[in-house]
Amino acid sequence: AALAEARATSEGQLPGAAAMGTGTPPSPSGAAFEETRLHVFTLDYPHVQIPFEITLWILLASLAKIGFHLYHKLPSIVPESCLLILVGLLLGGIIFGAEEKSPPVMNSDVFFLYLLPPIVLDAGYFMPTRLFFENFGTIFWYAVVGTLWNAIGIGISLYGICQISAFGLTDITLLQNLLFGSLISAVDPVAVLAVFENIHVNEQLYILVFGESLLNDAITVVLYNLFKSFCQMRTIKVIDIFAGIANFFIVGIGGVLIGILLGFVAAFTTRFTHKIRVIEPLFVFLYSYLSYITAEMFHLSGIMAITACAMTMNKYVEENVSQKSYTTIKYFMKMLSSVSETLIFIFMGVSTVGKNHEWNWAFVSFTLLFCLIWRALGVFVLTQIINVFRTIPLTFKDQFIIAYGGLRGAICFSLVFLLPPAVFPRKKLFITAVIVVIFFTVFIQGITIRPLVEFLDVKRSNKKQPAVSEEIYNRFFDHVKTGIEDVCGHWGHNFWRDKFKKFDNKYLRRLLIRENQPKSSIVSLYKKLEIKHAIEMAESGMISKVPSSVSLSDYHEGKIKPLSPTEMENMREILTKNLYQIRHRTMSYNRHSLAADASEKQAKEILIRRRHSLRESLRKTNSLSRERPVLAFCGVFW
Amino acid sequence: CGQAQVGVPRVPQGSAPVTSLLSLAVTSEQIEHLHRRFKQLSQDQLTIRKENFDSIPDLEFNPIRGKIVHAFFDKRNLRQESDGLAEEINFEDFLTIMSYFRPIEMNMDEEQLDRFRKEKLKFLFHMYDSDHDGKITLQEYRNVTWAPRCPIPPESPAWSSPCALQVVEELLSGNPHLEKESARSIADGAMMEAASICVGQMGPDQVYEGITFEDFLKMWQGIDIETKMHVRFLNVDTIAHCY
Repeated sequence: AALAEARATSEGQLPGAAAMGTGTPPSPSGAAFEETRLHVFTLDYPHVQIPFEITLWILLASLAKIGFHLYHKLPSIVPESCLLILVGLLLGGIIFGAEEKSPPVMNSDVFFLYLLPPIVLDAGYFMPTRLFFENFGTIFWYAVVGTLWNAIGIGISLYGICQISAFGLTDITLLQNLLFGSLISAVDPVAVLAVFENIHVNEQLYILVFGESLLNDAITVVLYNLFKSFCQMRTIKVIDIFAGIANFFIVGIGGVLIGILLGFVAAFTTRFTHKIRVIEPLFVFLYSYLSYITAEMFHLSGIMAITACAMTMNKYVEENVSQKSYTTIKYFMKMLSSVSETLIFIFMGVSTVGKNHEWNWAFVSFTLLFCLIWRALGVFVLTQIINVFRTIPLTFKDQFIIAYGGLRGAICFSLVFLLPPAVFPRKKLFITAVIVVIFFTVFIQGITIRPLVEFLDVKRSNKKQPAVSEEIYNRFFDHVKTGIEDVCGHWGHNFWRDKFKKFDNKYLRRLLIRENQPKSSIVSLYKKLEIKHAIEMAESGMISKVPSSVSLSDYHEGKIKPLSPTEMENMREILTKNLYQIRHRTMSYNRHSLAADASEKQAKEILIRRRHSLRESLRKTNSLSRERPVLAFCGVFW
Repeated sequence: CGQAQVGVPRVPQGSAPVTSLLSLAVTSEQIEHLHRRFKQLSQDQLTIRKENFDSIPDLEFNPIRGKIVHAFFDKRNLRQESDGLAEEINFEDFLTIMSYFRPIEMNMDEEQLDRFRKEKLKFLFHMYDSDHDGKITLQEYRNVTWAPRCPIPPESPAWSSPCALQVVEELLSGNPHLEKESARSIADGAMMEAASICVGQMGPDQVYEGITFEDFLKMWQGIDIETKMHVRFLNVDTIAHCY
């Protein structure tokens, strides 16, 4: 609407400007001919209104973020999401007070098409795939059955409440209640990320809650559309229910397939980009966004599509693109998702203020109550069932955190605004109830989850840098487990993982990766660490014999002409050999078996610096500024 | 058939007394299944030898096959007082090895968990420590990262010959083009990390002999082995068959 308005105003100006030549300019007073002189200084706000406002909003969001971090203790007590909602409320209040009308409500299209994808992309790209697939059964169980349980439970119990005529809610039908239940039962990935980011629970718990919030999008989409159509249909036949179930499978599997397909295409594309490194990051973003909107076009699950695309792309793209492109991708993704998240919470705050509300004590309070009760019950009952199939059963502490971490957020907020008011005369009531639930989960649960985690002594994640030895152990482990499984004659997880790896190495990698040297993750991790150390030492002037182009090969690739694979291999050889020799001297691990030549003084110096830098790197974490625990594991797993 | 009580299995004919099995806490159905597997491997004999493991096709592709098979016959794992390698093992020994891979139970307390963890880590430690001296030296560590499938022992001078290099396959990358040098430097790097974790500040004259079991425990502190080191099978209730 704003866009149309802007166009109209600028159209309106054109005839006026043209009229200057003919001599009859429009003038409000309707007076006779009046020539306008040349304007020295003009203000033309409508021309830039839209980009201007967008920029101001984003700038405001980012400034707010700076403000929060000025007082360093604040983010640890109150999660950022709460503070941002407060800022939004403030802003909304100002706009409401100034203009006496409701501030612009967050447009659901803007949310679903522009604000949500970057966040999901970021989360999916850095997801620890190994852990995700190990727990896939549990995650799927919670996402599908859990959400169904919640939706139907909340819907039916609210309908029961509505029947009590004292509350004045009798005009809300069962279907409307079920629809409301389905949109409010979905755990929201944005809110979960925002809150869990700071409390650092162990990866297992994190992946369970977060994975659930991603996968339940499929069932939410299906239930929402299903009940919305049912509300608008006059009769409901059994065939419609079966159609609903079939729809679920199509939505979920279709979304994933689109994501995987486009992920492969992206990986294949990056195979040929070595001449034009500069636009490599663009492909990652374009293909993943394409998967999202393609899925949305078919009314499939966009979230699952973009997650599948990101997870597929990750492995192969990482090896095809240059180091700089990879860094660009990571940073840009983080930046986009950070901005999106901030904007979402601020808009939620702004949209709350206004005349969109209808308060009904019974409905609102019972909604909140039922949300909490059904979530807790659901997690408890489902865990009892799934624990039978899990090798590591989930304890009560885990269950509590999973139940408590079921936060609602912007997705249900947007879904409720999308309800057609013709079919839902009590829409404002729904909006109020949703807002109350969201505020409760984000504020109360978000703030108290950190002290609860500490009180319950839940296992936390350890954010240390992956060490080479750890990687070796992990790999050794896998082989031992697979071997024992073979001896037992049982096909476990490791068997399928092995099979997939073989298929991957034989076909997929050959097709999708440019220089296909089978590289073990241990070797690449080791080489990454070594190159880092080599750079440090080169900078401190210790290695004079190694030619500088070797140690800087990865960093100045753009300036030197592209190296052939054999040259690269030679350089890596030289690097490894030189470092190995230095370590020969500095290790003093077992002097007797090593050839000790070269100056002792230099050796001591190198030893001290080397140990110092090794200890430093063992302590430092590799995470980027957003401090996600998943980042530390992206290299180790898979 | 097959009683449901924990730790009271039906004793298959002709095997050693199963009183020690009571401490293993595997259910009778699992013992039945494992016994069937044992009979299959041993071709209906009472004991199995190293050669019997050759009949497992998938194990062929495992780079540390030798170490796994060796672990079954290692007397330290069989809870026997003596040292060295057993010639053959019976069903009870087979079960003993399998019990190292059972998952944790929900009702275990701190002390039991700790003991559990130590047992599993000791099993792994024995796999690394091939000369049974209680320490993992650099040479043994190198062997882990460069595990040959040929029967040439790592200490022999035959290693310098090119044909030996052709036969071996590197544990970690499965890449025959990766040179021994790189694998050695990786092992060295990992060893140095171990040294810095376990010993901390080292003077230039200090010699780090090798990783003892206590150091090994320290290094694995961060990793919760009790949840990782299990084979799913041991928790699934299979259908009990009657003999």
